[in-house]
Amino acid sequence: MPKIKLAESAVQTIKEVCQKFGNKEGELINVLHGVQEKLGYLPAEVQEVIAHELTMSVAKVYGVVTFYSFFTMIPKGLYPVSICMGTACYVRGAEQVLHEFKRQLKVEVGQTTPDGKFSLSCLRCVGACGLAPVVMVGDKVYGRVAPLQVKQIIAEYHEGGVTQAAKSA
Amino acid sequence: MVAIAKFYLEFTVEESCGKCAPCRIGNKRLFEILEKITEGKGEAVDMERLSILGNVIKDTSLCGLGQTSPNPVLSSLKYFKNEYHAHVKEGRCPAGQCKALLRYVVVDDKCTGCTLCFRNCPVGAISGEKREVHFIDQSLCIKCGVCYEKCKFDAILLT
Amino acid sequence: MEMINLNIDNKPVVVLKGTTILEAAKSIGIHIPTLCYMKLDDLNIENKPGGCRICVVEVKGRRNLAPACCTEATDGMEVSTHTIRAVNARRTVLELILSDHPSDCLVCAKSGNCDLQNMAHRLGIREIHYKGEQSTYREDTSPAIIRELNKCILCRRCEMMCNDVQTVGVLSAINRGFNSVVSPAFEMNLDHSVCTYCGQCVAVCPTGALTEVDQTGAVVRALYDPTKTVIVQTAPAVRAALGEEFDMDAGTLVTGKMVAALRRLGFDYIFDTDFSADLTIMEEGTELLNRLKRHIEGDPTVKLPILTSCCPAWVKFFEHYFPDMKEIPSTARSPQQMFGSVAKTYFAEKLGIKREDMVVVSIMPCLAKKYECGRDEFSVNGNPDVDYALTTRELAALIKVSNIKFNSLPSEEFDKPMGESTGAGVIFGTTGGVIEAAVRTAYELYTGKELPKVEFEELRGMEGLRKATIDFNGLPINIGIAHGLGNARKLLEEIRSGNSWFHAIEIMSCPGGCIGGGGQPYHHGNAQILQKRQVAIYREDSNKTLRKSHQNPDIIKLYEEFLGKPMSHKAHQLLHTVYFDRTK
Repeated sequence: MPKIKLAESAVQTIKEVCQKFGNKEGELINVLHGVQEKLGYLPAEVQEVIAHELTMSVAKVYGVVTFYSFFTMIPKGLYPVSICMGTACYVRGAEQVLHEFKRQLKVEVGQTTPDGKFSLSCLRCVGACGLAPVVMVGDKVYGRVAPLQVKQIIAEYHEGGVTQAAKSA
Repeated sequence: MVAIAKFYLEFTVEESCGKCAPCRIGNKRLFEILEKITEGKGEAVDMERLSILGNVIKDTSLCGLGQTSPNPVLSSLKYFKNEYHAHVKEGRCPAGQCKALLRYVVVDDKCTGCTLCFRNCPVGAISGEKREVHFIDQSLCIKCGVCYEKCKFDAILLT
Repeated sequence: MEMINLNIDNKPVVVLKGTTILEAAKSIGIHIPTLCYMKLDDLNIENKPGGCRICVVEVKGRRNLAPACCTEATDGMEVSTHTIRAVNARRTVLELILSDHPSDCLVCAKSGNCDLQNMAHRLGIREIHYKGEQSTYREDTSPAIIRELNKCILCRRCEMMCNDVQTVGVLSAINRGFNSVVSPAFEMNLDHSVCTYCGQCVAVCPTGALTEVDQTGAVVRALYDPTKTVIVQTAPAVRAALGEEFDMDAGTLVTGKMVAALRRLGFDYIFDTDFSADLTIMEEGTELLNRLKRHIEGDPTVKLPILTSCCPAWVKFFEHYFPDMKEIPSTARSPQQMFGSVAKTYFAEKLGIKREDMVVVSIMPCLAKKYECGRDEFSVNGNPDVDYALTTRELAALIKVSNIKFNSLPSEEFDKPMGESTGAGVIFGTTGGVIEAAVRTAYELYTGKELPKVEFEELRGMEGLRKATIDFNGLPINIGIAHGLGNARKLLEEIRSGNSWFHAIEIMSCPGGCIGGGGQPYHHGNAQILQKRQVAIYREDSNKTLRKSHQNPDIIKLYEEFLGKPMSHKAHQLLHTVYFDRTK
């Protein structure tokens, strides 16, 4: 992994989050949540600082980060696109919607577009089954999405003017 | 229903934590067999394998995920046995879900040559002149079903 | 203590509350097959993830099958261990594990010694019905350990040893589901991690996923090179375990046969690491006394306790985790390295050959020794003091491939002048041995008196952390002993926080000391084997006429002819070392 030098402010932020949870090994998941919320992602250097603050092996921290799909080691796109793949959405054609997003954005699930604008992921049921198929871009929910509408949805974010920028996850 | 069972297995394989062997490897194998079947490569013995494997996974898994993940397979095998038979013995998907076993074909005597399908095909697999019977090139067709949806004359057959 | 009554296979059994089905069955001679489960009694080491699901049994009234290793026996329980349902489940689960395993058995380093292979044989697997995708990971080679993760069955034993027993913390399960694997952080190579090469992961791995780097090829090439003089040194722990590779009982001493085998393999000189162990005592004992004298005289700068430094895995552990305490360990090199250093100077001179024409091979119970001989500071102008370190297992394999009938070999003697050793040198192989050897010499040098009794029972045993106070003719010397790096860490943290009351501490990385090393014949989870090896080491010691390092005539000669006296300038150059901060 290429070594990046963490800014002193980033290291401070991490230490503060760890301290908030008493620097306890058992609070690792809470710490990872907090740090990812503030820094956006959890690269190797960040994990090493966390391991040091919580007095635990960095291998274990890495193990937890790689286990949960929520934790990410690479920056997510500015607009995270999540397609619901719950039962209702699936039977109403979520797979075709996903296929179309992949085609348009030219990325696979779990990847981010080279310009850093969009990252694509799947969710398992957001609980809006009445609106199936559901797609979320950031916090905005799109219901009854058909493959033909995908291009339009993406375009909203390219111009940057039509929709408010979604918070990066 | 076979496709649905496969969909649920795909979810389970992704969610499996990986600690116990039957769930980690067994569910993957169940999924692979279902994939084989939905791609038209299933064998008769696969149905028996699904059943034995599914039951062992249920019986030996460490947690509730593995103990219930084979249920969609086992129950669909029980109540929709004919669908599995069709896939494995006839190479046919009665539910119209398994793309490898589907073909969208133009029904010559119903096609009016309105070009609606031709204009909406996202990959240009349909060819035909105005007022002439259209033709779908199977090697290009991605089976998205748009032509089927758009046709007003029931001239596209899903088989 | 509450007792539980249950029925296993229609046989009644009474056990203490808290006993598992597996243990209850074992107590009446029923051996339920297990794969990931491992327990080393007396060492408090247990691996019980309940992941392989091979030990599943039928329990009346329970909906699914129960894993015997982690299901507690309850009063009135009725267990059936080999119903058709349980056996079919076991076999199917094993087939699944085998379906995600390479079919390399014919050329795998573990073939014949593999727990997975043995299980497949035991359960009579003839066909794998569920073939499919196999996990593939890149191979990782380090100076001592090779990781072939394609063969990993996720038993988690290595992770348990590395984190809970050794507290080195290199390995962890990462990723999820089918992609899960045990790996260092960020999937880095082992040689970039804080791995100490203690090899305990290799010692417990049930498959060929973790094995040692095999240097037998290089050694054989040297043996057949007419321009090279190849000399070999053998560690004390090897002679107490080598016989196990030839179907002898654990604890059989095979010193004489080992020497005979090495001679027949073509080594030019067969020497003994026990010789340089005596040498280590001379240097380290003198160092200990120097520090003690300064301490008694009230010198505030002196560092106590002194820590033994003969274990390279321990040294690397120290350099990663406690580099702020670099002046505390003894500066003495390990016996392996002292041997190499002396062989390529003193002995090379005697033979009239250049050091580049001498190849020094060591036979060690250890994997870290492979790493140690490659350390930069242990070579002169690029030529290492010790060229290759073979494990006990590699030696056994070499003997077999050379068609030598080990069991019918006569007993032969080591060569001179580096083959003579005292009992003190032999006991280096077990926990408590190094410090006992040091005490035997330090006592007599300090007090000027002869020891009333040579054996120090209070320093012996298998407990992970031990302490004793030895009376040096009125001066009480506090000794601490730790084996297993987790125990070492505890003592070091006491020193760091200023709460240590010891004068000298002996540390060995491996459970039981070197007899339990990563390169020894596999114990397959049987801790009794370690006990028996320990007994054999002390037996070899008591069979010797000379029991104290300073009485070794060849050591005395070495000082007279070459080194001068312990801690002399020459001794410092050849036999002492420095340590490095590896946190940077």
